[in-house]
Amino acid sequence: MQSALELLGLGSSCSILLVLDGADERNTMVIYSPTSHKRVDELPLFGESETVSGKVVISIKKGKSLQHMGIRIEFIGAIEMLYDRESSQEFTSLVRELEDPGILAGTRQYPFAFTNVEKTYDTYNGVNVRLRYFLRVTIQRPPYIPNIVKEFDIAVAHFQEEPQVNNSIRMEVGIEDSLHIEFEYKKSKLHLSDVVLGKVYFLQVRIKIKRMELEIKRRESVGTGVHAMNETDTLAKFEIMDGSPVRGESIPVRMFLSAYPSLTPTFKNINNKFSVKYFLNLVLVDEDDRRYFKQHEIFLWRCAT
Amino acid sequence: MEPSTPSTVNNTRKKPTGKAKGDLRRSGSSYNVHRRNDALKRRSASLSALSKIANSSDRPSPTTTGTNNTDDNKNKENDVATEFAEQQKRMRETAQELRKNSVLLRQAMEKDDLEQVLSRAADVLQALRIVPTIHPRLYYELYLAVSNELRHLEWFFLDQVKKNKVTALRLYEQVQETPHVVSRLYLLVVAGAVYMGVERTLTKSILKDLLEMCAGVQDPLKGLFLRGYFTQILRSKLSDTESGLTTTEAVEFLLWNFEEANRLWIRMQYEVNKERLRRSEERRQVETLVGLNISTIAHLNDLTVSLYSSVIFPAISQQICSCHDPMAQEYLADCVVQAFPDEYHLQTLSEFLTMCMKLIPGVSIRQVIGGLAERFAKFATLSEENRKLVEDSGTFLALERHLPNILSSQGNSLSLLDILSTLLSLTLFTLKAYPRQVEYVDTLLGFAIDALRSNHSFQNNKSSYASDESSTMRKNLLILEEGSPEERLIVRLLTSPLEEYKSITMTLRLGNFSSLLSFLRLEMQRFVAASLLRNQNEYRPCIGAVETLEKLFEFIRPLVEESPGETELIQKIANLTQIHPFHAHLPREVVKVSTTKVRVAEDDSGYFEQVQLLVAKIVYLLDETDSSSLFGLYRVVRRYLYRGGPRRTCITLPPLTFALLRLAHRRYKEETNSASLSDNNSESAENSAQHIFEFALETLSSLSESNVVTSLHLYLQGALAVNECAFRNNNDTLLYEFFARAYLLYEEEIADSRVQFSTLLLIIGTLRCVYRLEPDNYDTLCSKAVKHAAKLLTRADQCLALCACAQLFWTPWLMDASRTFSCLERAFRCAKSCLSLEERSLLLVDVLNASMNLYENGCMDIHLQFFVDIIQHVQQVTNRMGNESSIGKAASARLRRALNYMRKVEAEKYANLLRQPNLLVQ
Repeated sequence: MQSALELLGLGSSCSILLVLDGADERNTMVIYSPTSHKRVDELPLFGESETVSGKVVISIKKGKSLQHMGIRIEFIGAIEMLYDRESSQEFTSLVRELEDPGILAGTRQYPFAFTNVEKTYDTYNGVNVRLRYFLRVTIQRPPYIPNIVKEFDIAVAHFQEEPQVNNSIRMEVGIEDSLHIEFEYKKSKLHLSDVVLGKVYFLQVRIKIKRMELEIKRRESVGTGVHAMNETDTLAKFEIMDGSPVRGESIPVRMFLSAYPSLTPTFKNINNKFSVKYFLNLVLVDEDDRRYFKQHEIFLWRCAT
Repeated sequence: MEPSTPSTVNNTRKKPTGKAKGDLRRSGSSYNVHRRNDALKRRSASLSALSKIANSSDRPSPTTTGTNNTDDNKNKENDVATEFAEQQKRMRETAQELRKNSVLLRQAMEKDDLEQVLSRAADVLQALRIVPTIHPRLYYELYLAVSNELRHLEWFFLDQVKKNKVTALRLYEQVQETPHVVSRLYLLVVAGAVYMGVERTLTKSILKDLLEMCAGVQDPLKGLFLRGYFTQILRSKLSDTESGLTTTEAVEFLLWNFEEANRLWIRMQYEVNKERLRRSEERRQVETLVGLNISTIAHLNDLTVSLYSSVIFPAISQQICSCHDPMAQEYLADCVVQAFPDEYHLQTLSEFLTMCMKLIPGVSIRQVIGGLAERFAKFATLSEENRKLVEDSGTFLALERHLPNILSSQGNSLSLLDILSTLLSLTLFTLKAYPRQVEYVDTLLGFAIDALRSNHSFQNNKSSYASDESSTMRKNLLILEEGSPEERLIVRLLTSPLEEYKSITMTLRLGNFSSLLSFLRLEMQRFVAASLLRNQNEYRPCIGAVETLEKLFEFIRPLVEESPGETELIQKIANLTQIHPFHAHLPREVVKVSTTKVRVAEDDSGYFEQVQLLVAKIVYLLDETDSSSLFGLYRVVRRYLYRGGPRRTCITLPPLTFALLRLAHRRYKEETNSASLSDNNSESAENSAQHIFEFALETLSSLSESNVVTSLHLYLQGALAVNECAFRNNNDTLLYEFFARAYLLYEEEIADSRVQFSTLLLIIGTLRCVYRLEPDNYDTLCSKAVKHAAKLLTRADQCLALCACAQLFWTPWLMDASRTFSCLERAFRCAKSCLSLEERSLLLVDVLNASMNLYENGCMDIHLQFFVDIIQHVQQVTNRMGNESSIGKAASARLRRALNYMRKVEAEKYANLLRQPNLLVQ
């Protein structure tokens, strides 16, 4: 990309590198694509009020020089609406000036530090919305020449305390005269590598069931009012029963959430912009492929590992 | 959302078939009613014949589908063939996919890439998810292929764990991320096996977890195979001595798995979209997967009786009782019987039988109890200790106590056949295990009678619904069809004790024998009675009491008594055979009607005689120690034998007569002995020898109607016997009576001239031996003999008979030379008048010999000329015949021998004769 731009005369003759302090020891966080558990990126991970510091290395090609109107670095937390750019929002923005206007040549290093910067929210990579934290290095150019901008993403994750109250989910549901089940999940609040434990008890079975599945669904709600947008995706499909049970059968449920890395904690009304909710959906499929389902919200939280 | 509040939104969206309660929602594919119905029709139409195909290739089906319309049937068969072909095709495709995945799995294993191995293994296991389900046999093939791969996978896992590339726990968790439940659980079992191998202390909790998770497969076929796989893994763990599992725990797990497997198995019966017959057939194919658990338990190392009786059996039995499925109950009960050692069964017999009582109607009790009884029988015969064990544990008493309940609990569904064959196997067992306890067998026979009676009344009830006519027809007897299995079973029930005991007296203690016998057809009754007699080991005296004897006759009544209509039938046969072929067309109808019966009677005749001979032999069974009581027994015998009619008595009475004569003789000796001791012999007349002779005479008179020749012989035999005894009141009435009867028979009944001749000779011979007759009586009898001799048909007969008569008048007690000679003369005349030269020559030599005999004994009335005449006649005749005739040669040879005898041996007596010049013999 860089070289292609250069060929067109548009590319800059400078490269910007960002080296974070203690990068080698720092934990990373893998970013997955929102629905398919595919690995997208791996980012350095920061805690809530951790200092983000490091140095920016700018090198200009030999024999060239670059005139600039100043160099700065910004720390930005942004909520990006992928289909509605207008309502995107930067909820945090801090600036550090690195260099006054002048001419750059050779390689220069600029240390920077955003001490105890507030990082309220978790990084989130969704379908319609993305919550990012990044460092943006900008080399300002004279008028009519585009600035040279480079962004470096970091990830932020909050480790939560184990919830004090963790009720089980227990429910009896059915269709009159044909199917009646009772199910129970041991916990309603699960951490991301937790195991869904429970059982499904068949009180009455008059229809021929082919299989039973447990699904994890994510509902991503963006915006409010008329602009509200909901996106529901099934992140996990887990068959827990094959064949048709009879009355009195109790089917165990054990589902390892660690198998689904794109799960995130439940987010509630993040900066009034979006929410992410998770549901456990119990699905029974009968012989004619009709699906009977019952979903129930679960709360996912991130546990300090 | 509360489950009780109906969601209106959902209601509006839903089809009217189902109302939502709570908010369990239904969505998904629309469904086409017509299409589905068509498919259903097609499927159900094609099922029956499929089962046929499957059956023909595998095991015979107990029944075939009954459809009246043959066209329909053909169509169905075609459909079925196509469906089966489809299944096979699907199976082949799956197998192909499986092979491909197996190769990939092996490659991944070679690369040592755990992640990939796991996903490939899941792919391999996809084969076992095959939907819709296929025939068990096809599924089994897939299972075999997959389990082969899983073995490799287990080694791989073990290797990974040993190399510390992954912990067993992690592995155990990781496999659980597999999204499909069937694949997941197979992998879990494999991983569990590895885990158990590494962490022995966790074995128990791992097994528990595995079994709990296995509930995820609710499809009967898949579930059964999965649980079968689990059992196999568990089994291989158990063979390891340090499995970390006690026997009790192993039993617990196996029982648990067994219960679940059994439930799945039974559920196969209720799969709605398959025809009943096919379901049963498919179930039979997989029954071993359920039984595997039981057999694994049975093969556990440290199994003890107490564990069996306190834990294992109660659990299995509870499962059997509660499952309410005939096939399962039958198979499992049989499994239990066959899998566990006999000692265990002996301990739990009572419980086992209680369980049998709870089995639902329709279960083949005969197989269950029969199997058990057979095992016990085999066990008991193995060694004396075993037999003792069986005896000590009160096996029979338990059986006796429970059997009626078991049979009654089954109600009408238990066929007579089942009851009888159960009883038969129990009888066989009892005979082996309790060779002395006749009453046990008797009890069983009693059960059989009860069964027959109740069945009879049941049948009667049924028939009374049908029509009054038929019910009156079978008013009294249960009709057992000729050659029916029921009949055969009853016969075996009755004959097996006989064959085992080989003793009539033992058998006689079976009180129910004769009443059970009465349920059979007459022919079969006879057969059984005959085998009773035939199975006596040796004919040693064993019956001493009248009661016993009467019982014996009660048992063999069908043999002894004439059946109603028998005489008429025989008469008819006799009449038919007497019809001249020329007239055969006249009573054609009669012939037609009775030919079958005639054939039966004729075929039967050889058998009949054999059997009657057996009856006749009863006499030799009687205890001979006390002569007076023996006579009492003989009386009883005669009383019963009389009932048999002439056809039987002619075979059965002679031995009795001989026995009577022997007894009389013995009594006589005893009497004379005791008489010498004390004159005051107050012996009752009842038992005196004379009385016995009279009794014998009476016996014979009844016999004489049926078999003239035999009775005549017996009269003579009687005469000889009486002759041995000198009765004190010393008259020859009895002796004379015997002869008189013989003569009467001779005169009245014997028409055949040959027979006349032979019997007459016999009479004469006997008469010649008898010396106790009064002279007058002797004279009378002798003259009678001469008279009869002269009246014989042919000259030859007359001649020979007269020669014999001549002897009568020259005896130590009567020497009437003139009458002797006159007899000889008449004989000579008869011989001369014989037309045939050959015969004449021989007769003449006979007369010569007879004369010589008497002459040598001192009968001087036979003068020389008489001899000369005879000799000359002989010579003339032989000369006339010439050298060609062999008879002539023989005659002259005899003559020569006689003359030689005269010359050399008795030359003195014949001196005068020998001087005759014309007696020169060449």
